[in-house]
Amino acid sequence: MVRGGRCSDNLIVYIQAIRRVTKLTADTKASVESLLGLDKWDWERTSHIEITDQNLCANCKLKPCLKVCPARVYTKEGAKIAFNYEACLELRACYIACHEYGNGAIKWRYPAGGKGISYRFG
Amino acid sequence: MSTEKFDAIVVGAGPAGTAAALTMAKGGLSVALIERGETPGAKNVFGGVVYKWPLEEIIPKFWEKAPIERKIIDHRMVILGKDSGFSVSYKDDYLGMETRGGFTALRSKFDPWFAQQAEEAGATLVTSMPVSEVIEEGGRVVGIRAGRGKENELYAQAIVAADGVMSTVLQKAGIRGPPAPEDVAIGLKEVIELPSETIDSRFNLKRGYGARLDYLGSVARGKSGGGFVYTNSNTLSVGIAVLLSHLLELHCKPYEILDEFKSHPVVAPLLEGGRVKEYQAHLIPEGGLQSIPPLASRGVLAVGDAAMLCLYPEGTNMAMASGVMAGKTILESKKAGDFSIQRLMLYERLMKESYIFKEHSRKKNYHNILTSGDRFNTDYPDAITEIMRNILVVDGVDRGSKHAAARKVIRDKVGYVRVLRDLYRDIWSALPW
Repeated sequence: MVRGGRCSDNLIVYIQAIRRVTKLTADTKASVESLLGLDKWDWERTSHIEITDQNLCANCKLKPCLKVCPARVYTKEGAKIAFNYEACLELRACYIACHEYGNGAIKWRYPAGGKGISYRFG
Repeated sequence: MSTEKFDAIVVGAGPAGTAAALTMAKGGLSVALIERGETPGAKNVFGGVVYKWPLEEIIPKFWEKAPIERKIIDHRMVILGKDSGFSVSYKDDYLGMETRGGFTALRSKFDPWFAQQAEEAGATLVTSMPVSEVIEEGGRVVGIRAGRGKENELYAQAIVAADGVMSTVLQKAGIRGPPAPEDVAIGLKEVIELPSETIDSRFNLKRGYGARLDYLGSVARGKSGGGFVYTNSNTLSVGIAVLLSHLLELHCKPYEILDEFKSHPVVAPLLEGGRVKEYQAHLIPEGGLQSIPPLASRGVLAVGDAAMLCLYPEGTNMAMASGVMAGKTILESKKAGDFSIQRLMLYERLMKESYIFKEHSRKKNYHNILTSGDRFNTDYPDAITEIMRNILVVDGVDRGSKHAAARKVIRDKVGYVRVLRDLYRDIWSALPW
């Protein structure tokens, strides 16, 4: 199931590939992508995260979104900030950090009903 | 667009919201309990412990039917040094009877069960329904707009905001903004599977009973952070929490801190061979007393995480207790036929006399420790390690000289006066016990 989008397709393919092959043990140092491969999502077609103006990000010294996200949703691509909304665990730390320490470019809404992350253990 | 009217709307079917809905439904009110997840608990993460109070008041003898993982009989507090651990523990079967010492749970099982109790009492549970707007009229909130495909308008005499630390209802109603970075911690957790026999033997437990291990000290590279390992039936809940403001000062990613915690020599052997089943993250309110927003304002009662009611390591109990008090307040209003804003202020009065506020007031310095307490995370753990290593290695040097050396370590690393002041003012309020 590959959905339309920007850089996200790769991630979904990657996550699904990991699901097939990995059995993560607690002692191996796991990449965050492989940890995310354990979680369950129902993805929306459109992103619930939005960057209103890439110029704000280009001028953002601290780029706190890169630091705080536990799912590595945000990555730096040149001067731009790219994001994989599919990996979002919906804690909104990026939003708080961006508006408090950054330039406030991140716009965030909750995914539509029942969409997004669904914890199986919680 | 459909329009419906209830006595009360509760937004969020976690412990706080469900407790409120259940209280009101039992009292005969028409209640809508609205949840954005596919099922209650689907969006929720917590460390892992639920307490007997006030759940027992809501559901008598719940321990006979609730989805309990393990009843906790062993409480261990560990101060981590860089490679060491100093523990204090208390184990007592008494704590296991009727879950007096609390019990571990998984939200994906506990929350649906709890919400089902509210449904059986007559509350209307609607899932997959995020709130998009609040509806205001005459200076108060009279309803919400929520969507599942199409937008629905729901109206009520009173609204209970139980929608968590980032509460949409409170923000849309202008009651509070998003929490400040100093007032929330990022919590990361992994659920790690191990055979239940392995957990029994590794933690020295009888079948059905559990241990909770809370870690302080050097968890987050000298910044304020805590770690935990809680035993479930055949999984462990392993996680860390770091203040969001501190995370920005650390030059590492949140999951690197979790990795370091998991591979700490004191922690790693407990997890060995386990299989990671899920990776979770959530924001935890850590702001304490000063971060609590107006509890009853503009027809909205704030409960649980939405009201920032969380004091490590307690949260679910405060959520439920606040939910019950909000529920009782609305029941009183219904009885009196008066839903005025003044009448709803009863909730704030109940809260201020409650366990929740007493605990928050007692721990009012807790937040100071979190934000400024480098010595709690480096100096004290280092001193403990140095002293214990010196004392426990028998090498022909007499204990008298070693005790003198220990005093010197305390004097050099922190200073006597400071130790006394910390003990008197801060440490009592930071301890989870």
